[in-house]
Amino acid sequence: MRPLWAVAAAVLLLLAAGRASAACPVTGEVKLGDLPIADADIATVLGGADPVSRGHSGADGRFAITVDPLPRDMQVLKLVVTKPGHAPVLRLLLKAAGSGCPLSPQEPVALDPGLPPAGTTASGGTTATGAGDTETKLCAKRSSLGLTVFIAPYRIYGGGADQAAERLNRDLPEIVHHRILAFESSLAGVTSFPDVSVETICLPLTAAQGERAQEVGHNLNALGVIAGEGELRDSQGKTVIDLVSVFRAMPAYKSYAGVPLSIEDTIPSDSLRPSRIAEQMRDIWGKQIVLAYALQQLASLPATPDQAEIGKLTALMVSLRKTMTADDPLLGQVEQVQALLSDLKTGP
Amino acid sequence: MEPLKDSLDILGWPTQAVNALRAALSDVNIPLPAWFAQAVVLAGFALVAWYFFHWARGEDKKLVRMGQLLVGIAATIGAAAILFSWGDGLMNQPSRQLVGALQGAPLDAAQIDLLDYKGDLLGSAVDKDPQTGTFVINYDPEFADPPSAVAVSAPNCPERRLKLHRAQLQGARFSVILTCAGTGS
Repeated sequence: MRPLWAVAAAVLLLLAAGRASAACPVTGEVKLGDLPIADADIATVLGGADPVSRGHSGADGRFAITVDPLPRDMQVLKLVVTKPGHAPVLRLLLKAAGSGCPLSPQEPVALDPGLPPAGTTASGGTTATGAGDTETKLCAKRSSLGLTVFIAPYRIYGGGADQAAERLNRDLPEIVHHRILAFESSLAGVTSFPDVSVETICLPLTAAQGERAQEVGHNLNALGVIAGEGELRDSQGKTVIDLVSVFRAMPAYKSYAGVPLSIEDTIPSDSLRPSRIAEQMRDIWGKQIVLAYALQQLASLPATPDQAEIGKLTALMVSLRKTMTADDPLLGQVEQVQALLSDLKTGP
Repeated sequence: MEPLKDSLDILGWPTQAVNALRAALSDVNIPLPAWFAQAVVLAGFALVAWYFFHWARGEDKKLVRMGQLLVGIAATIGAAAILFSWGDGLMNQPSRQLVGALQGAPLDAAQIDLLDYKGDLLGSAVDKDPQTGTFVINYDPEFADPPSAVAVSAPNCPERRLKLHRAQLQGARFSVILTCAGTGS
C-alpha cells in the first residue's frame, strides 16, 4: 500500500504545483476614440492590494501581459490603464469558470479624452485647426515657436521586435536630437542656431500617410514630422536595426514647400546611450532640419524684410551647401531656397 | 450544481431567525456577535430536542407522543441547519468580492452599498467598470455573519435592494435593474 500512497501524494503535489505556476495571458488594446494609444501603463490590482505594473501598450495600442490565476475567494482582477494627460481607466476582468484566470477585455480599453489642452474649445475642436487631431489625441503639446519635430512611433519587424521597438521609440527623440546638434555644430560660419526640440506623438503613422502627417504637423505647429519603420537583422554576429524614416518638413514659403525625405540608417539594437547611437546615423537628419528651419524663417519674414535677416539665412544656406556633394538628395532644395533668398535680396 | 446550491438556501431560516433576534436585542443596546447568538440558539435547539425526545419515550398517549416527536425533530433540524451553515462557511469560504451588473442607469452615477442583517451599511469598497456596466463590491466576510443584501440607487431612480443568496456570496454574478424616471426603462 505504501507505494500507492507515495504515487498519490506525488500526483497531488504535481497537480498543486501545476495550478500554482499556471500563468494567465491577458491581452487587450488601448484606444482613444478610433486611435490606438501607445505607451499607456498597464497595471493590475487584486482586491485592496497595491497596483502591480505589468508593462505598456505597444505602438499599435495593443498589450499582452501575464498574471496569476485568481484566488478562490476573488472573482475579479482590476486592470488599470494610465496615460499622462488622461484619467486612469479601470476595467474589471472577471474570473473564467474553469481555469480561474481573469478574462481579457472583449472591447478595447477606452481612454477618456482628459482635460482639454490649451487652445481648445468646449465642443472639443481645436481653435488651431477646427476639426482634426487634437493635442490630446496625439499625446503632444502644440509647439509655440514652431521649433519642434514630432516623431510617430516606429513599427519594428523581426524576432524580438517588441522590446526593440519599445526601446527605440523611447530613445529616438534623444537620438535624433543628438544627431541634429552634432550636425549643427559642424556647420561652418553659423554662430547660433535655435534650440530645436524633438518629441513623440502617440499616433502611429506609416511613411505612406503623407496627408495625415501634414495634418498632424500643422495641428502641432511642427517644424517636421517623422514616421518610419525598422527591421531587425543579424550583422556580423550582432543584431542591428535597419531604419527607414520619412522626414516631412512642415514650413512652406509661398508656393514652395520641402519634399518628403527618405532616410535610411542602420543602428545597433543594443541598449546603448542615445548619443552613441546618434553617431551612427546619417548627417542628412541635421541637413533636413536646417532646411526646414530656413523655410520657416523665410515664411515668417515680413513683406519688406530686413536685409540683415536675409543675410543670416543666406549664410546659413551657404554653410549647408558646403556640406553637400553633387549627389546629395537635398541639394536641389537648398539651391531653390538660395534662389528664393536671392530674389528677396534683389527685390523691390 | 447551481439549483442544488440555491436549494440549500432553505437551510438558512434558523440563522435568519437568529438574526431577527439579534436585531431586536441590538435595538435595546445588546449587540451580539452572530456566532455567539447562533451558538446560544443551537444550544437551545439541542436542549429542546433532547427534552422532547426523552419525554416522548415515556409518553403513553399516541397523539401527544407524536406532537413531542415533531417538536423534537423540528428542533433537531434547526440545530442541524445552524451546524450546516457553520460547516458550509468553514469549508466553502465566501468570496471577498461580489460581482454584479447594473442596467437601467449609468453606473458612474449609481450608489452601491452592501447591507448587513439589519439593513445597515457594511464597510465596503465598490469598483465600477462603466464600459461594461459591471461592478465589484470588495468586503471582508465574517464568520457566520454574511451580508444580507445589496442596495443600488441612482439619481431619479428608486433604490433597489437585492437579497443575496448563498451562490452569490460564493461568487455567482447577479444583475440589478433600476427603473428610472424619464428614461422609460
